[in-house]
Amino acid sequence: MPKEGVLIPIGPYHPAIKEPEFFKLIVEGENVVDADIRIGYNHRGIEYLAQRMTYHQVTFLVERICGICSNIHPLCYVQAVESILNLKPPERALYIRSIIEELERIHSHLLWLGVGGHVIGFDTLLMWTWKLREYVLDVFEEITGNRQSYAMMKIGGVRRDIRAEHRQKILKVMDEVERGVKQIAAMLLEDPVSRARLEGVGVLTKEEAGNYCVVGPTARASGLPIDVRKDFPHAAYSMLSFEVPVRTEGDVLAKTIVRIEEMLQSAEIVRQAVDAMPGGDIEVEFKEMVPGEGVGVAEAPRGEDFHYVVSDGTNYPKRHKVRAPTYMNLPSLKPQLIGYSLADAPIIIASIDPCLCCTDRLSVVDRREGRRKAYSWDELVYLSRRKTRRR
Amino acid sequence: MACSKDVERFAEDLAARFRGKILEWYLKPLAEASCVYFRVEKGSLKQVAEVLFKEMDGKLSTISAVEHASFFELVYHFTLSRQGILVNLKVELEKDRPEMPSLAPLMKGANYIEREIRDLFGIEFPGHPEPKRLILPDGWPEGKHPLRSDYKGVE
Repeated sequence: MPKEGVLIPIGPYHPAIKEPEFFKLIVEGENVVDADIRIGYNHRGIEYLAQRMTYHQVTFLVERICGICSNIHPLCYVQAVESILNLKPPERALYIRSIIEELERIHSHLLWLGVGGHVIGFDTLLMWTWKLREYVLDVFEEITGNRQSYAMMKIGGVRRDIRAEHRQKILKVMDEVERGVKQIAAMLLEDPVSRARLEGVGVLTKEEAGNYCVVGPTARASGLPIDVRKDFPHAAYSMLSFEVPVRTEGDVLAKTIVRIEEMLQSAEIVRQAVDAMPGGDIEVEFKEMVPGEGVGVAEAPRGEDFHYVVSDGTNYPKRHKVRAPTYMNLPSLKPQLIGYSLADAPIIIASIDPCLCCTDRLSVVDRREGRRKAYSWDELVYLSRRKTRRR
Repeated sequence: MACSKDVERFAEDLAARFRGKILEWYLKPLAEASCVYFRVEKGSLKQVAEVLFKEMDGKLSTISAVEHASFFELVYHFTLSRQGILVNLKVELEKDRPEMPSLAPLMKGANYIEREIRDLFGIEFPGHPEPKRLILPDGWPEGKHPLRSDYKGVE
Protein backbone atom coordinates (compact mmCIF):
# COMPACT_ATOMS: atom_id res chain seq x y z
CA MET A 1 0.00 0.00 0.00
CA PRO A 2 1.56 3.31 -1.01
CA LYS A 3 1.98 5.88 1.74
CA GLU A 4 0.35 8.77 0.01
CA GLY A 5 -3.09 8.59 -1.52
CA VAL A 6 -6.60 9.84 -1.83
CA LEU A 7 -8.96 7.91 0.38
CA ILE A 8 -12.65 7.80 -0.47
CA PRO A 9 -14.34 5.50 1.99
CA ILE A 10 -17.89 4.96 0.85
CA GLY A 11 -19.50 4.25 4.08
CA PRO A 12 -22.24 2.56 5.97
CA TYR A 13 -25.24 0.81 4.59
CA HIS A 14 -27.85 2.84 2.78
CA PRO A 15 -30.88 1.75 0.77
CA ALA A 16 -29.20 3.07 -2.34
CA ILE A 17 -25.80 1.48 -1.87
CA LYS A 18 -24.93 -2.04 -2.97
CA GLU A 19 -21.36 -2.40 -1.88
CA PRO A 20 -19.51 0.03 0.35
CA GLU A 21 -16.25 0.86 -1.34
CA PHE A 22 -12.94 2.40 -0.41
CA PHE A 23 -11.05 4.32 -3.05
CA LYS A 24 -7.47 5.34 -2.64
CA LEU A 25 -6.36 7.71 -5.36
CA ILE A 26 -2.78 8.87 -5.69
CA VAL A 27 -2.55 12.28 -7.26
CA GLU A 28 0.27 14.39 -8.61
CA GLY A 29 -1.03 17.93 -8.48
CA GLU A 30 -4.48 17.57 -10.01
CA ASN A 31 -3.88 14.33 -11.87
CA VAL A 32 -4.72 10.86 -10.66
CA VAL A 33 -1.69 8.62 -11.15
CA ASP A 34 -2.75 5.50 -9.27
CA ALA A 35 -5.87 4.09 -7.70
CA ASP A 36 -6.59 1.34 -5.19
CA ILE A 37 -10.09 0.10 -4.43
CA ARG A 38 -11.21 -2.03 -1.50
CA ILE A 39 -14.58 -3.47 -0.65
CA GLY A 40 -15.98 -5.45 2.25
CA TYR A 41 -16.76 -2.67 4.72
CA ASN A 42 -20.30 -3.73 5.18
CA HIS A 43 -20.29 -7.41 4.44
CA ARG A 44 -23.65 -8.68 5.64
CA GLY A 45 -23.07 -12.40 5.27
CA ILE A 46 -26.03 -12.92 2.94
CA GLU A 47 -24.57 -16.18 1.61
CA TYR A 48 -24.12 -17.49 5.14
CA LEU A 49 -27.69 -16.52 6.06
CA ALA A 50 -29.09 -18.05 2.88
CA GLN A 51 -27.71 -21.44 3.89
CA ARG A 52 -29.75 -21.25 7.10
CA MET A 53 -33.11 -20.32 5.58
CA THR A 54 -35.68 -22.30 3.63
CA TYR A 55 -35.89 -21.91 -0.13
CA HIS A 56 -38.93 -19.65 0.05
CA GLN A 57 -37.42 -17.45 2.75
CA VAL A 58 -34.27 -16.86 0.71
CA THR A 59 -36.34 -15.11 -1.99
CA PHE A 60 -37.10 -12.36 0.52
CA LEU A 61 -33.57 -12.34 1.92
CA VAL A 62 -31.95 -11.69 -1.47
CA GLU A 63 -34.51 -8.99 -2.20
CA ARG A 64 -32.76 -7.03 0.53
CA ILE A 65 -29.30 -7.18 -1.07
CA CYS A 66 -29.94 -4.00 -3.00
CA GLY A 67 -32.49 -1.27 -2.52
CA ILE A 68 -32.39 -0.07 -6.13
CA CYS A 69 -32.49 -3.23 -8.18
CA SER A 70 -34.35 -5.14 -5.49
CA ASN A 71 -36.15 -7.31 -8.03
CA ILE A 72 -33.14 -8.65 -9.86
CA HIS A 73 -31.65 -10.76 -7.07
CA PRO A 74 -34.90 -12.64 -6.31
CA LEU A 75 -35.36 -13.12 -10.06
CA CYS A 76 -31.89 -14.67 -10.45
CA TYR A 77 -32.39 -16.78 -7.36
CA VAL A 78 -35.77 -18.20 -8.38
CA GLN A 79 -34.39 -18.96 -11.85
CA ALA A 80 -31.51 -20.88 -10.27
CA VAL A 81 -33.94 -22.89 -8.10
CA GLU A 82 -36.25 -23.48 -11.07
CA SER A 83 -33.24 -24.80 -12.96
CA ILE A 84 -32.63 -27.34 -10.16
CA LEU A 85 -36.29 -28.36 -10.11
CA ASN A 86 -36.65 -28.26 -13.90
CA LEU A 87 -39.70 -26.10 -13.32
CA LYS A 88 -41.24 -23.99 -16.09
CA PRO A 89 -43.27 -21.00 -14.89
CA PRO A 90 -46.43 -20.16 -16.87
CA GLU A 91 -46.00 -17.74 -19.77
CA ARG A 92 -47.98 -14.98 -18.10
CA ALA A 93 -45.56 -15.05 -15.16
CA LEU A 94 -42.61 -14.74 -17.56
CA TYR A 95 -44.13 -11.61 -19.10
CA ILE A 96 -44.77 -10.11 -15.67
CA ARG A 97 -41.14 -10.81 -14.75
CA SER A 98 -39.96 -8.95 -17.86
CA ILE A 99 -42.26 -5.99 -17.17
CA ILE A 100 -40.98 -5.65 -13.60
CA GLU A 101 -37.36 -6.02 -14.75
CA GLU A 102 -37.74 -3.26 -17.36
CA LEU A 103 -39.64 -0.87 -15.07
CA GLU A 104 -36.82 -1.35 -12.60
CA ARG A 105 -34.22 -0.60 -15.24
CA ILE A 106 -36.00 2.65 -16.13
CA HIS A 107 -36.19 3.90 -12.55
CA SER A 108 -32.62 2.84 -11.79
CA HIS A 109 -31.21 4.59 -14.87
CA LEU A 110 -33.25 7.72 -14.10
CA LEU A 111 -31.84 7.72 -10.60
CA TRP A 112 -28.33 7.31 -12.01
CA LEU A 113 -28.80 10.14 -14.51
CA GLY A 114 -29.88 12.42 -11.69
CA VAL A 115 -26.90 11.50 -9.51
CA GLY A 116 -24.56 12.03 -12.47
CA GLY A 117 -26.06 15.46 -13.05
CA HIS A 118 -25.77 16.33 -9.38
CA VAL A 119 -22.08 15.38 -9.35
CA ILE A 120 -21.20 17.69 -12.23
CA GLY A 121 -23.30 20.49 -10.75
CA PHE A 122 -26.34 20.10 -13.00
CA ASP A 123 -28.87 19.83 -10.21
CA THR A 124 -31.77 20.72 -12.48
CA LEU A 125 -31.18 17.38 -14.18
CA LEU A 126 -31.53 15.67 -10.80
CA MET A 127 -34.88 17.37 -10.22
CA TRP A 128 -36.19 16.44 -13.66
CA THR A 129 -35.10 12.82 -13.66
CA TRP A 130 -36.20 12.11 -10.11
CA LYS A 131 -39.58 13.65 -10.82
CA LEU A 132 -39.94 11.34 -13.81
CA ARG A 133 -38.81 8.43 -11.65
CA GLU A 134 -41.69 9.09 -9.26
CA TYR A 135 -44.20 8.14 -11.98
CA VAL A 136 -42.45 4.78 -12.41
CA LEU A 137 -42.47 4.20 -8.66
CA ASP A 138 -46.20 5.00 -8.64
CA VAL A 139 -46.71 2.20 -11.15
CA PHE A 140 -44.79 -0.15 -8.87
CA GLU A 141 -46.92 0.90 -5.94
CA GLU A 142 -50.07 0.22 -7.89
CA ILE A 143 -49.00 -3.18 -9.23
CA THR A 144 -47.10 -4.58 -6.26
CA GLY A 145 -48.14 -2.48 -3.28
CA ASN A 146 -44.56 -1.29 -2.75
CA ARG A 147 -42.41 1.42 -4.28
CA GLN A 148 -39.27 -0.60 -3.55
CA SER A 149 -38.69 -4.26 -2.62
CA TYR A 150 -41.74 -5.37 -4.52
CA ALA A 151 -41.75 -9.03 -3.37
CA MET A 152 -43.04 -10.10 -6.79
CA MET A 153 -40.83 -13.12 -7.44
CA LYS A 154 -41.66 -16.62 -6.33
CA ILE A 155 -40.19 -20.01 -7.15
CA GLY A 156 -42.38 -21.16 -10.03
CA GLY A 157 -43.84 -17.80 -11.00
CA VAL A 158 -44.79 -14.45 -9.54
CA ARG A 159 -46.79 -13.51 -6.45
CA ARG A 160 -49.11 -10.89 -7.89
CA ASP A 161 -50.86 -10.48 -11.18
CA ILE A 162 -50.84 -7.36 -13.35
CA ARG A 163 -54.55 -6.75 -13.70
CA ALA A 164 -56.44 -5.30 -16.65
CA GLU A 165 -56.98 -1.97 -14.89
CA HIS A 166 -53.22 -1.48 -14.56
CA ARG A 167 -52.70 -1.57 -18.30
CA GLN A 168 -53.83 1.99 -19.02
CA LYS A 169 -51.75 3.41 -16.20
CA ILE A 170 -48.61 1.54 -17.31
CA LEU A 171 -49.00 2.64 -20.93
CA LYS A 172 -49.60 6.25 -19.88
CA VAL A 173 -46.48 6.29 -17.70
CA MET A 174 -44.40 4.68 -20.46
CA ASP A 175 -45.42 7.49 -22.84
CA GLU A 176 -44.54 9.98 -20.14
CA VAL A 177 -41.15 8.31 -19.60
CA GLU A 178 -40.36 8.27 -23.30
CA ARG A 179 -41.26 11.93 -23.73
CA GLY A 180 -39.41 12.94 -20.57
CA VAL A 181 -36.26 10.95 -21.31
CA LYS A 182 -36.02 12.35 -24.84
CA GLN A 183 -36.44 15.89 -23.54
CA ILE A 184 -33.89 15.44 -20.75
CA ALA A 185 -31.42 13.68 -23.07
CA ALA A 186 -31.60 16.58 -25.51
CA MET A 187 -31.00 19.11 -22.76
CA LEU A 188 -28.03 17.18 -21.38
CA LEU A 189 -26.37 16.10 -24.60
CA GLU A 190 -26.80 19.37 -26.48
CA ASP A 191 -25.43 21.45 -23.65
CA PRO A 192 -21.76 22.11 -24.50
CA VAL A 193 -20.75 22.48 -20.84
CA SER A 194 -22.18 19.13 -19.72
CA ARG A 195 -20.84 17.49 -22.85
CA ALA A 196 -17.36 18.82 -22.13
CA ARG A 197 -17.46 17.22 -18.68
CA LEU A 198 -18.50 13.82 -20.05
CA GLU A 199 -16.74 13.47 -23.39
CA GLY A 200 -13.34 11.79 -23.46
CA VAL A 201 -13.33 11.37 -19.67
CA GLY A 202 -12.81 8.06 -17.87
CA VAL A 203 -12.18 5.99 -20.97
CA LEU A 204 -12.32 2.21 -20.58
CA THR A 205 -10.87 0.54 -23.68
CA LYS A 206 -12.41 -2.59 -25.14
CA GLU A 207 -9.31 -4.62 -24.21
CA GLU A 208 -9.43 -3.49 -20.58
CA ALA A 209 -13.18 -4.07 -20.45
CA GLY A 210 -12.66 -7.65 -21.62
CA ASN A 211 -9.77 -8.20 -19.25
CA TYR A 212 -11.73 -6.97 -16.23
CA CYS A 213 -14.77 -9.02 -17.41
CA VAL A 214 -17.05 -5.98 -16.94
CA VAL A 215 -20.79 -6.27 -17.50
CA GLY A 216 -23.83 -4.20 -18.39
CA PRO A 217 -23.79 -0.61 -19.66
CA THR A 218 -20.13 -0.30 -18.65
CA ALA A 219 -19.23 -3.10 -21.10
CA ARG A 220 -21.66 -1.94 -23.78
CA ALA A 221 -20.22 1.59 -23.73
CA SER A 222 -16.78 0.07 -24.43
CA GLY A 223 -17.88 -1.84 -27.50
CA LEU A 224 -18.69 -5.23 -25.96
CA PRO A 225 -22.15 -6.23 -27.24
CA ILE A 226 -23.14 -8.36 -24.26
CA ASP A 227 -26.62 -8.43 -22.76
CA VAL A 228 -28.06 -11.33 -20.79
CA ARG A 229 -31.51 -10.58 -22.18
CA LYS A 230 -30.29 -11.43 -25.71
CA ASP A 231 -27.50 -13.93 -25.01
CA PHE A 232 -29.25 -16.04 -22.37
CA PRO A 233 -32.95 -15.23 -22.80
CA HIS A 234 -34.91 -15.54 -19.57
CA ALA A 235 -38.39 -14.33 -18.57
CA ALA A 236 -40.19 -13.35 -21.80
CA TYR A 237 -37.29 -11.74 -23.65
CA SER A 238 -37.15 -14.26 -26.48
CA MET A 239 -40.74 -13.27 -27.32
CA LEU A 240 -40.11 -9.52 -27.27
CA SER A 241 -38.24 -7.47 -29.83
CA PHE A 242 -35.76 -4.84 -28.72
CA GLU A 243 -32.30 -3.55 -29.49
CA VAL A 244 -29.17 -3.48 -27.37
CA PRO A 245 -27.48 -0.08 -27.61
CA VAL A 246 -23.69 -0.36 -27.95
CA ARG A 247 -21.11 2.45 -28.16
CA THR A 248 -17.41 2.13 -28.79
CA GLU A 249 -15.95 5.26 -27.17
CA GLY A 250 -15.81 3.89 -23.62
CA ASP A 251 -16.00 7.34 -21.99
CA VAL A 252 -18.55 8.70 -19.53
CA LEU A 253 -20.56 10.21 -22.37
CA ALA A 254 -20.86 6.79 -24.04
CA LYS A 255 -22.05 5.25 -20.77
CA THR A 256 -24.63 8.02 -20.45
CA ILE A 257 -25.92 7.59 -24.00
CA VAL A 258 -26.11 3.80 -23.61
CA ARG A 259 -28.25 4.19 -20.50
CA ILE A 260 -30.50 6.83 -22.07
CA GLU A 261 -31.12 4.62 -25.11
CA GLU A 262 -31.74 1.63 -22.85
CA MET A 263 -34.49 3.51 -21.05
CA LEU A 264 -36.26 4.16 -24.35
CA GLN A 265 -35.88 0.48 -25.27
CA SER A 266 -37.22 -0.55 -21.87
CA ALA A 267 -40.31 1.61 -22.30
CA GLU A 268 -40.87 -0.09 -25.65
CA ILE A 269 -40.42 -3.57 -24.11
CA VAL A 270 -42.93 -2.80 -21.36
CA ARG A 271 -45.48 -1.61 -23.93
CA GLN A 272 -45.01 -4.76 -26.02
CA ALA A 273 -45.17 -7.04 -23.00
CA VAL A 274 -48.33 -5.45 -21.61
CA ASP A 275 -50.07 -6.00 -24.93
CA ALA A 276 -48.70 -9.46 -25.71
CA MET A 277 -49.21 -10.89 -22.21
CA PRO A 278 -51.32 -14.07 -22.44
CA GLY A 279 -53.91 -14.97 -19.81
CA GLY A 280 -53.65 -17.88 -17.41
CA ASP A 281 -51.97 -18.82 -14.18
CA ILE A 282 -49.13 -16.86 -12.68
CA GLU A 283 -47.41 -19.66 -10.81
CA VAL A 284 -46.85 -23.41 -10.71
CA GLU A 285 -46.58 -25.39 -7.53
CA PHE A 286 -43.76 -27.73 -6.67
CA LYS A 287 -43.86 -30.47 -4.12
CA GLU A 288 -40.37 -30.90 -2.75
CA MET A 289 -36.77 -29.96 -3.37
CA VAL A 290 -34.51 -32.32 -5.29
CA PRO A 291 -30.71 -32.47 -5.08
CA GLY A 292 -28.84 -30.67 -7.82
CA GLU A 293 -27.35 -27.38 -8.83
CA GLY A 294 -28.60 -24.40 -10.80
CA VAL A 295 -27.48 -21.09 -12.22
CA GLY A 296 -29.62 -17.98 -12.51
CA VAL A 297 -28.62 -15.00 -14.63
CA ALA A 298 -30.48 -11.80 -15.43
CA GLU A 299 -29.62 -8.37 -16.78
CA ALA A 300 -29.73 -5.97 -13.84
CA PRO A 301 -29.66 -2.21 -14.60
CA ARG A 302 -25.92 -2.35 -13.87
CA GLY A 303 -25.19 -5.56 -15.77
CA GLU A 304 -25.26 -9.32 -15.47
CA ASP A 305 -26.37 -10.58 -12.07
CA PHE A 306 -25.36 -14.13 -11.22
CA HIS A 307 -26.67 -16.64 -8.68
CA TYR A 308 -25.55 -20.25 -8.17
CA VAL A 309 -27.51 -22.56 -5.88
CA VAL A 310 -26.52 -26.05 -4.77
CA SER A 311 -29.21 -28.24 -3.25
CA ASP A 312 -28.75 -31.46 -1.31
CA GLY A 313 -32.45 -32.23 -1.31
CA THR A 314 -33.18 -30.71 2.10
CA ASN A 315 -35.27 -27.63 2.77
CA TYR A 316 -32.21 -25.39 3.00
CA PRO A 317 -29.78 -24.47 0.22
CA LYS A 318 -26.43 -26.18 0.67
CA ARG A 319 -24.67 -23.27 -0.99
CA HIS A 320 -25.93 -20.02 -2.46
CA LYS A 321 -23.45 -17.84 -4.29
CA VAL A 322 -24.39 -14.29 -5.27
CA ARG A 323 -22.41 -12.07 -7.59
CA ALA A 324 -23.79 -8.58 -8.14
CA PRO A 325 -22.81 -6.65 -11.30
CA THR A 326 -20.90 -3.85 -9.57
CA TYR A 327 -18.53 -6.51 -8.22
CA MET A 328 -17.13 -6.95 -11.74
CA ASN A 329 -17.36 -3.28 -12.74
CA LEU A 330 -15.74 -1.76 -9.68
CA PRO A 331 -12.13 -2.97 -10.25
CA SER A 332 -12.29 -1.51 -13.77
CA LEU A 333 -12.43 1.97 -12.23
CA LYS A 334 -8.66 1.81 -11.80
CA PRO A 335 -7.78 2.23 -15.51
CA GLN A 336 -10.71 4.66 -15.87
CA LEU A 337 -9.44 7.01 -13.15
CA ILE A 338 -5.73 7.05 -13.98
CA GLY A 339 -4.71 9.99 -16.13
CA TYR A 340 -7.70 12.21 -15.39
CA SER A 341 -7.97 15.08 -12.93
CA LEU A 342 -9.22 14.75 -9.38
CA ALA A 343 -12.22 16.90 -10.29
CA ASP A 344 -13.22 14.24 -12.82
CA ALA A 345 -13.06 11.45 -10.23
CA PRO A 346 -16.66 11.82 -8.95
CA ILE A 347 -18.26 11.56 -12.38
CA ILE A 348 -15.94 8.70 -13.41
CA ILE A 349 -16.77 6.77 -10.24
CA ALA A 350 -20.45 7.55 -10.76
CA SER A 351 -20.26 6.47 -14.41
CA ILE A 352 -20.21 2.73 -13.61
CA ASP A 353 -23.26 3.40 -11.42
CA PRO A 354 -22.07 2.08 -8.08
CA CYS A 355 -24.40 3.29 -5.38
CA LEU A 356 -22.64 6.37 -4.12
CA CYS A 357 -25.01 8.10 -1.73
CA CYS A 358 -22.95 7.28 1.33
CA THR A 359 -19.58 8.50 0.16
CA ASP A 360 -18.48 10.47 3.12
CA ARG A 361 -14.80 11.27 3.30
CA LEU A 362 -11.61 11.22 1.32
CA SER A 363 -8.06 12.31 1.94
CA VAL A 364 -5.65 13.57 -0.66
CA VAL A 365 -1.90 13.57 -0.58
CA ASP A 366 -0.15 15.81 -3.04
CA ARG A 367 2.98 13.91 -3.93
CA ARG A 368 4.92 17.04 -4.87
CA GLU A 369 4.21 18.92 -1.66
CA GLY A 370 3.80 15.94 0.62
CA ARG A 371 0.71 17.47 2.21
CA ARG A 372 -2.16 15.39 3.41
CA LYS A 373 -5.66 16.79 3.29
CA ALA A 374 -8.94 15.14 4.07
CA TYR A 375 -11.74 15.98 1.64
CA SER A 376 -15.34 15.30 2.36
CA TRP A 377 -17.48 13.98 -0.50
CA ASP A 378 -19.14 17.42 -0.60
CA GLU A 379 -15.78 19.08 -1.09
CA LEU A 380 -14.91 16.66 -3.84
CA VAL A 381 -18.22 17.33 -5.55
CA TYR A 382 -17.45 21.05 -5.12
CA LEU A 383 -14.14 20.51 -6.98
CA SER A 384 -16.03 18.78 -9.75
CA ARG A 385 -18.62 21.54 -9.94
CA ARG A 386 -15.96 24.25 -9.96
CA LYS A 387 -14.52 22.55 -13.01
CA THR A 388 -17.91 22.74 -14.71
CA ARG A 389 -18.14 26.44 -13.92
CA ARG A 390 -14.74 27.12 -15.43
CA ARG A 391 -15.90 25.70 -18.75
CA MET B 1 -28.84 -18.11 -27.81
CA ALA B 2 -27.91 -21.67 -28.60
CA CYS B 3 -30.19 -24.67 -28.96
CA SER B 4 -29.37 -27.81 -27.00
CA LYS B 5 -27.88 -29.52 -30.10
CA ASP B 6 -25.33 -26.71 -30.47
CA VAL B 7 -24.48 -26.90 -26.81
CA GLU B 8 -24.02 -30.67 -26.99
CA ARG B 9 -21.72 -30.31 -29.99
CA PHE B 10 -19.79 -27.56 -28.21
CA ALA B 11 -19.39 -29.75 -25.12
CA GLU B 12 -18.32 -32.80 -27.14
CA ASP B 13 -15.75 -30.73 -29.04
CA LEU B 14 -14.28 -29.25 -25.91
CA ALA B 15 -14.21 -32.63 -24.18
CA ALA B 16 -12.48 -34.19 -27.20
CA ARG B 17 -9.93 -31.39 -27.31
CA PHE B 18 -9.03 -31.90 -23.66
CA ARG B 19 -9.31 -35.68 -23.61
CA GLY B 20 -8.28 -37.04 -20.23
CA LYS B 21 -8.35 -33.55 -18.72
CA ILE B 22 -12.10 -33.07 -18.87
CA LEU B 23 -13.37 -36.01 -16.83
CA GLU B 24 -17.09 -35.69 -17.62
CA TRP B 25 -19.72 -33.21 -18.77
CA TYR B 26 -23.48 -32.79 -18.49
CA LEU B 27 -26.15 -30.30 -19.55
CA LYS B 28 -28.64 -28.47 -17.42
CA PRO B 29 -31.56 -26.34 -18.65
CA LEU B 30 -31.59 -22.69 -17.65
CA ALA B 31 -34.73 -20.80 -18.64
CA GLU B 32 -34.35 -21.04 -22.42
CA ALA B 33 -30.57 -21.00 -22.57
CA SER B 34 -28.34 -23.93 -21.80
CA CYS B 35 -25.83 -24.45 -19.14
CA VAL B 36 -23.07 -27.04 -19.45
CA TYR B 37 -20.95 -28.40 -16.61
CA PHE B 38 -17.48 -29.88 -17.06
CA ARG B 39 -15.66 -31.78 -14.38
CA VAL B 40 -12.05 -30.80 -15.02
CA GLU B 41 -8.84 -32.29 -13.70
CA LYS B 42 -7.33 -29.76 -11.28
CA GLY B 43 -4.00 -29.26 -13.07
CA SER B 44 -5.62 -28.53 -16.44
CA LEU B 45 -8.16 -25.95 -15.37
CA LYS B 46 -6.00 -23.00 -16.29
CA GLN B 47 -5.49 -24.40 -19.80
CA VAL B 48 -9.23 -24.87 -20.37
CA ALA B 49 -10.01 -21.44 -18.90
CA GLU B 50 -7.46 -19.83 -21.22
CA VAL B 51 -9.14 -21.38 -24.26
CA LEU B 52 -12.58 -20.15 -23.09
CA PHE B 53 -11.29 -16.67 -22.32
CA LYS B 54 -8.94 -16.01 -25.24
CA GLU B 55 -10.25 -18.10 -28.12
CA MET B 56 -13.97 -18.03 -27.45
CA ASP B 57 -14.26 -14.51 -25.97
CA GLY B 58 -15.67 -15.99 -22.79
CA LYS B 59 -16.08 -13.83 -19.74
CA LEU B 60 -15.48 -15.07 -16.23
CA SER B 61 -18.73 -14.42 -14.38
CA THR B 62 -17.61 -15.64 -11.01
CA ILE B 63 -16.14 -18.57 -9.13
CA SER B 64 -18.25 -20.40 -6.53
CA ALA B 65 -16.61 -22.35 -3.75
CA VAL B 66 -18.67 -25.21 -2.30
CA GLU B 67 -17.73 -27.24 0.73
CA HIS B 68 -18.56 -30.94 0.55
CA ALA B 69 -17.99 -33.54 3.26
CA SER B 70 -14.65 -34.75 1.93
CA PHE B 71 -13.50 -32.06 -0.50
CA PHE B 72 -13.84 -28.44 -1.60
CA GLU B 73 -15.24 -27.73 -5.00
CA LEU B 74 -14.57 -24.66 -7.12
CA VAL B 75 -17.02 -23.90 -9.92
CA TYR B 76 -15.70 -21.46 -12.53
CA HIS B 77 -18.66 -19.87 -14.32
CA PHE B 78 -17.88 -18.56 -17.80
CA THR B 79 -20.46 -16.79 -19.96
CA LEU B 80 -19.88 -17.22 -23.68
CA SER B 81 -22.11 -14.40 -24.89
CA ARG B 82 -21.38 -14.79 -28.60
CA GLN B 83 -22.27 -18.50 -28.52
CA GLY B 84 -24.99 -18.10 -25.88
CA ILE B 85 -23.59 -20.84 -23.66
CA LEU B 86 -22.97 -20.81 -19.94
CA VAL B 87 -19.94 -22.95 -19.17
CA ASN B 88 -19.18 -24.17 -15.66
CA LEU B 89 -15.83 -25.78 -14.92
CA LYS B 90 -15.71 -27.82 -11.73
CA VAL B 91 -12.57 -28.85 -9.91
CA GLU B 92 -12.17 -30.74 -6.65
CA LEU B 93 -9.63 -29.69 -4.03
CA GLU B 94 -8.54 -31.70 -1.03
CA LYS B 95 -9.80 -30.52 2.39
CA ASP B 96 -6.31 -30.26 3.85
CA ARG B 97 -4.55 -27.03 2.68
CA PRO B 98 -6.67 -26.44 -0.45
CA GLU B 99 -4.79 -24.67 -3.26
CA MET B 100 -5.57 -23.70 -6.81
CA PRO B 101 -3.30 -21.83 -9.28
CA SER B 102 -4.56 -18.26 -9.72
CA LEU B 103 -6.34 -17.10 -12.87
CA ALA B 104 -5.73 -13.42 -12.04
CA PRO B 105 -2.52 -13.13 -14.13
CA LEU B 106 -4.60 -14.27 -17.12
CA MET B 107 -7.64 -12.03 -16.52
CA LYS B 108 -7.94 -9.12 -14.14
CA GLY B 109 -11.57 -9.99 -13.50
CA ALA B 110 -10.46 -12.96 -11.37
CA ASN B 111 -8.56 -10.75 -8.91
CA TYR B 112 -11.40 -9.85 -6.51
CA ILE B 113 -13.19 -13.17 -6.87
CA GLU B 114 -10.18 -15.21 -5.77
CA ARG B 115 -9.40 -12.87 -2.90
CA GLU B 116 -12.97 -13.21 -1.64
CA ILE B 117 -12.78 -17.02 -1.72
CA ARG B 118 -9.43 -16.90 0.07
CA ASP B 119 -11.05 -14.79 2.83
CA LEU B 120 -14.23 -16.77 3.23
CA PHE B 121 -13.03 -20.35 2.56
CA GLY B 122 -9.29 -20.22 3.14
CA ILE B 123 -8.48 -21.59 -0.30
CA GLU B 124 -5.07 -20.30 -1.44
CA PHE B 125 -4.41 -19.12 -4.98
CA PRO B 126 -0.65 -19.31 -5.63
CA GLY B 127 0.49 -16.86 -8.31
CA HIS B 128 -2.10 -14.20 -7.39
CA PRO B 129 -0.66 -10.71 -8.05
CA GLU B 130 -2.30 -9.10 -4.98
CA PRO B 131 -2.76 -11.80 -2.33
CA LYS B 132 -4.31 -9.57 0.33
CA ARG B 133 -7.64 -9.46 2.11
CA LEU B 134 -10.73 -8.15 0.38
CA ILE B 135 -13.81 -8.84 2.51
CA LEU B 136 -12.46 -9.50 5.98
CA PRO B 137 -11.06 -6.62 8.05
CA ASP B 138 -7.31 -6.37 8.60
CA GLY B 139 -7.56 -7.32 12.27
CA TRP B 140 -9.38 -10.60 11.58
CA PRO B 141 -7.61 -13.63 13.15
CA GLU B 142 -5.67 -15.93 10.80
CA GLY B 143 -7.22 -19.25 9.93
CA LYS B 144 -10.86 -18.22 10.61
CA HIS B 145 -12.95 -18.55 7.47
CA PRO B 146 -16.61 -17.62 7.98
CA LEU B 147 -18.17 -19.76 5.25
CA ARG B 148 -16.44 -22.99 6.27
CA SER B 149 -18.64 -25.49 8.05
CA ASP B 150 -16.24 -25.71 11.02
CA TYR B 151 -16.46 -21.93 11.61
CA LYS B 152 -17.75 -21.22 15.11
CA GLY B 153 -17.36 -17.45 15.24
CA VAL B 154 -14.52 -15.28 16.47
CA GLU B 155 -13.64 -14.69 20.14
